[in-house]
Amino acid sequence: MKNNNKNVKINALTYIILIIGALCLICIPIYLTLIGSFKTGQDTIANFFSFPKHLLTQNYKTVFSSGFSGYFLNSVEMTVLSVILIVLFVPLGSYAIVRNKSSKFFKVIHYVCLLGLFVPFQVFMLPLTTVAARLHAMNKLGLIFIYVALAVPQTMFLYIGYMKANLPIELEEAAAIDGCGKLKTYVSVVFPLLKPINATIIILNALWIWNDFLLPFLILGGDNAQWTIPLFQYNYVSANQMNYGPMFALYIASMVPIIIVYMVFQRNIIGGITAGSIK
Amino acid sequence: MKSVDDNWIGRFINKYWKYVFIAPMMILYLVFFMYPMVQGILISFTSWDGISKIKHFIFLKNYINLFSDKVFLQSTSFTIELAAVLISFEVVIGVGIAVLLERKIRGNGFFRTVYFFPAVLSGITVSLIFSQIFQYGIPQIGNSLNINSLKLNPLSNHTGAFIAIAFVMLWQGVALPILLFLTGLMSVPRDVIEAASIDGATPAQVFFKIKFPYLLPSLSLVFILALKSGLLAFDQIIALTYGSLGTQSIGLLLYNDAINSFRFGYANSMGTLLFVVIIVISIIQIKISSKYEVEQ
Repeated sequence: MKNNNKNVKINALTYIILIIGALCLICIPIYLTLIGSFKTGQDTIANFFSFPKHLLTQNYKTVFSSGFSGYFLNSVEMTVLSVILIVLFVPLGSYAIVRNKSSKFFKVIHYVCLLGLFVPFQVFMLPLTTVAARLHAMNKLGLIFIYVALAVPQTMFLYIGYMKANLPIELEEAAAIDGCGKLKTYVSVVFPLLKPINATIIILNALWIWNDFLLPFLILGGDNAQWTIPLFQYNYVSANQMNYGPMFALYIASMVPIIIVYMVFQRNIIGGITAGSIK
Repeated sequence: MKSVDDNWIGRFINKYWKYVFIAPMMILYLVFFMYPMVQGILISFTSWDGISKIKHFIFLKNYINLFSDKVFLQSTSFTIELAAVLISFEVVIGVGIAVLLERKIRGNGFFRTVYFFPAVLSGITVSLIFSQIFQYGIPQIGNSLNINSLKLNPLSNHTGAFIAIAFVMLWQGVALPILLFLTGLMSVPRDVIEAASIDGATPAQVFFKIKFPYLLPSLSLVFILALKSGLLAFDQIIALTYGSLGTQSIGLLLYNDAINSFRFGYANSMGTLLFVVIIVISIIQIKISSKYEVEQ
């Protein structure tokens, strides 16, 4: 009985700490942004914490009339195309490495790719901009290729780990006996078996590319028609220092898509990110 | 089937399939990753300004200058302090919340979702939101509760700015450690804990003697992740202070030096130095974590 009582107390304490942490620290900043987005800038400065007197929708109109939808589409385009190329190219290359373990050439390639895991972006970000400029790749298409290149080390590492454990060579041999060529075998036998790891790869890379600021800042900075949402946000805030109403509306508008995706796929997202960082 | 394999493309792919399969990935990787990386290291031995055609080879001069450069040393000490704060708080808060979330209470799935949420937001959005909360929200709290230390915008002096940056980075940064520690705690075999409590072990003893060893692999991972995020900090700092008030991280200093001060070679020597530091730490971490795996 006594033990039970103690348990109830501990549980109550657990709830109190968790709720305080969740509400105060995580939800309040989002809530403040939400109410700020329905107030005028002066109102926000004077009464930061108060609920808006009238629900002002002008802020959202301002944000959308400054081209938000275009930047949103740029972000979608960048993320979707980069992730598609990553899932097309990287498992294909990883498969070649896994099935040619004895070849010296592929061993070297494997190590060269793994080396990338340890290279901080700042080591090569400056020469990367020079290379991109020389190849006329300071645009959306160039940035997509750069994302694929930067995704190679971790993505390949995860694919190779998965393939070593889950890809029985017998299936491919059977396909070869049936007269399938290498590409046909890969497409119809190997790739379908990669479904679980593909989900992890898509989540990890999509989240990183969607939220990335530094690369678009370096590569697309000069051409505002190509900006992604994080870059637009940064530049909008620098250009409109005192315009707090539209600023908050912009933060909310940029968070809504990710909140929806998170609510729908939260299990996969949490699982995918944990799996990606443990391995 | 036959028609595909019989034409010359099919025959070519079948013969050279390994090279065909690896080519798209490797071409992009070599052009946009390895080549710039090697170039960055080479440029760090020159006095190149980023524009002119000629690059003067000056061997280790950039590296020697780094160690007498006050701006770089100040930025290094800021970056190391930031990394140290991130590591310690991510571990303490991460383990603390993971222990609470591991308890079998109703709604812990909901709490897990909420606590992980900051990790999916963009660092830029979060930092911009907090910069406004710091500017107007915090002083209003300070004034109405009459707390002197909160009456000013934290982003107006060095200590305040340091705390503000660390706070924003932790706000997002503890989400993943919580999950990693939770995974560690869940991997403890239930029967061992039950046996221990039957034998009269206190909850504290159970935690330190039984559960703690299972946290060690996550601990070394969180250590390296937090260290990297501190050493490479950029987004939060450019959005909160733009490196003013003595909060210029190495990542931002390097960018400013190359783009705004035209010291491309010099900036690359900082990058290369970071690379060496991260390689050394990663090797130590891999050695340590493989030791844990053997012990378990």
